[in-house]
Amino acid sequence: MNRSKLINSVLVAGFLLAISFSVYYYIQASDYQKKIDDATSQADLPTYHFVLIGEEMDHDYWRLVGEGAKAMEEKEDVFVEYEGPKRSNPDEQLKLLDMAVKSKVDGIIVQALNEDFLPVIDQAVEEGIPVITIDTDAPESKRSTYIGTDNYEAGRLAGETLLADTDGTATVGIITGSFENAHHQLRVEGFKDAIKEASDIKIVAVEESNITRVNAEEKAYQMLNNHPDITALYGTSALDGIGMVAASETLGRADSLYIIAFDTLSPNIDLLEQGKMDALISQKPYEMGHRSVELMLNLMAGKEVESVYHTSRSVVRKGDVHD
Amino acid sequence: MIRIRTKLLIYFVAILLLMILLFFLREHNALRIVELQEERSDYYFLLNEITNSTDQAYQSLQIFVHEPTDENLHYYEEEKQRFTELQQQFVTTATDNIDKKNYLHLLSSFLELTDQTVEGVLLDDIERYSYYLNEANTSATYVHERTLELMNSELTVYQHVMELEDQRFQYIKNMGTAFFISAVILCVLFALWFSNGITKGIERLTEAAKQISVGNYTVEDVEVPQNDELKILTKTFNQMRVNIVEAIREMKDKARMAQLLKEMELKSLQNQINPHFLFNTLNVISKTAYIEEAERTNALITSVSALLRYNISSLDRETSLKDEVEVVREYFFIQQARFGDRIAFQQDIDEGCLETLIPSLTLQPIVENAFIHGIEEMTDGAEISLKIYPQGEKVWIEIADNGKGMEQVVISRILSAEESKDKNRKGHSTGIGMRNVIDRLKLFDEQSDVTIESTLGIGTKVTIGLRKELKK
Repeated sequence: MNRSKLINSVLVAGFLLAISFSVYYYIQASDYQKKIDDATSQADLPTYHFVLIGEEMDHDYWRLVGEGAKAMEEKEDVFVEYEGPKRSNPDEQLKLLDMAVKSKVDGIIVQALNEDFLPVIDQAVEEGIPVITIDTDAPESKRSTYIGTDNYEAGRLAGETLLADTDGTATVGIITGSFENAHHQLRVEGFKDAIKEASDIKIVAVEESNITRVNAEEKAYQMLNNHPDITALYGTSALDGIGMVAASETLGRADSLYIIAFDTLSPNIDLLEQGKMDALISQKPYEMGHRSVELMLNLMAGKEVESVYHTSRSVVRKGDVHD
Repeated sequence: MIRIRTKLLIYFVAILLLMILLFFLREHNALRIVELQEERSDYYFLLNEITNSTDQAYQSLQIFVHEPTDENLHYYEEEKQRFTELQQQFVTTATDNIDKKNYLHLLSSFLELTDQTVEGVLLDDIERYSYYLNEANTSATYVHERTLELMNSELTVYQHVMELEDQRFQYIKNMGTAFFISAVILCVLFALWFSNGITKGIERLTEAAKQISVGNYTVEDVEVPQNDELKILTKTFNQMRVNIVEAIREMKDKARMAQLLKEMELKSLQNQINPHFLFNTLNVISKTAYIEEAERTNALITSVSALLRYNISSLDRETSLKDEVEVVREYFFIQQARFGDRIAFQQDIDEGCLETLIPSLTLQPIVENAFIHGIEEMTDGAEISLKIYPQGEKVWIEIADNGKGMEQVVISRILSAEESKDKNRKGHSTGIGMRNVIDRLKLFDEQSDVTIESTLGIGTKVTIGLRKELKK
């Protein structure tokens, strides 16, 4: 009797255990079912579908622009497709623009890198797709508006800063992102215009980095070797500063050189804090991206927009950061 | 009541259902993964087909541009038709998202461009068609690129989903296993409970039956908890036991009562007569009368003595009809001495019947009854007849008188077992009443008959039927 009771209770316990296990596994399985549903189900398509085409997909600066644009998705009924070449490549970028046009998106936000972009932008507008240029303008095209830094003024600001910091005496080497790209041209142009008056400031070399860090370093190295008299370096794109610092460190001239560059990306700020860089011209990439989508939505709603929106630029020195 | 058969059926069906459920659960989930894979590969095939079709449409367009014949146009139209069909298929197959939207737009852009090329060729506008042909070409390459991108992203999603699905399936399998184990345990438990329920009931029944078979009727009632055939079995078993006990008790009671009655009756009968003393005295008187030459007195006393001797012999003795008739004759002799010519005694006796066995003191009390109740008060012409004759298997004895008779009520009272034990037996020499005679006759032989016929004012006839040959 006792033995059969024992067997009974063991069996009952085993049964309960097995049942609770199966319930547990069932709950787990439904959890995964939910996850699968989440993964496969698509949210309703938003009303508007914009494409933002930047210069380089994984570039820190452009990533900020993209984030700013994407942030609008939370607020508005819009989907922003952030695109760009894997490496800076105007042809690729142009192709992405063309693809966007052929994909008949609702609006295009694009960096108008050079003259080649004009016909495609015009074509898009002709097909009823409004275009906003960002970061780099194409004023002659039929784009609706431009949002971004006034690149010429930014260049000027850099020049004025250098002028003030070096007391008007300097031999300058310039690393620019690209000779072809409009915004870099403008930045160099503004810089040159700013120091035009100062007779003791000479520009001895201008090279292009193709907006990569390695190229910037290489060009700066060559430049410093070819022109040992250079006392100041000016970089127009975000990664030029890092390259220039690296080159000057290699040559052991980091302390004596005056280095001014663009964009308050975190590696730049680190270098600034360490005193290896002297000044940065800051832009507002996040704001740019964000406002570009806002402007595009305004266009969709049929509101009037101005032809140019400039985001602010400023000089950042050691101690100014973390604003 | 739930029958054992029904219980078993329910049990088996339940197990079967559980197993089927388990089987379908697993099957369904395995099928789901296969379906997912099929769906995906179908999708990839479709994408591949679309790119192929794009190429072919473009090629046919090129051929048409180079040689704008109707045949080539037709060829292009066919390709275009196929392309459009694939496009439609894509619309229905793919999930709605931005990629799909882009892709579809790209496809339709391509179609527009090719159409415009054809238009240009038909209008012979070389600038136009060469431009559109170029554009169509780029579009075609875009389609290729987009297809790859789509496949890539789909693959990424699919891989993720597949991982999740695998995990889920693993859990489902685990659940199935756990469920299976619990079902098996449940089966074992049910089997145990079920068999325990049956065997316990049967064990108790067996135990009780053993006890009863050795004569121990005092066992407790067998109880079973479940409400099935066993319940009925135990219930009837218990009822049977109670019935048996009851029957035994009744039997014992009856036997004891009967014995008691008989003993009392005998005792009282023997007490009424004070036999030996009276008998001896009568002998002395008889001899004295003989010495004094009072012959008639002597004869009378001898008759009385004979009658008495017969009477004091044991009541439950059996005797022959011959002795009985002799006693009746003696009695009658005495009565004739008393009543003289007022009474007559008729005898019609078949001598061949006199060997028939009969309980002693059967006829004399009946004759005495006839005297006392029938003819005692008659002053003249009273007659008592005794008739013995064989008929069929039996010997019939008729004792009739022509006295006052009695009512039917009295007859049935005498014949029924309810005869009152009144002591009002006036004038009986033996104290043995009619009822006692009948009882003893019945005890002597169950098949003997006693009937009484009587008519008021005409007489009474008592008939006794005895079996001729009684083997004792």
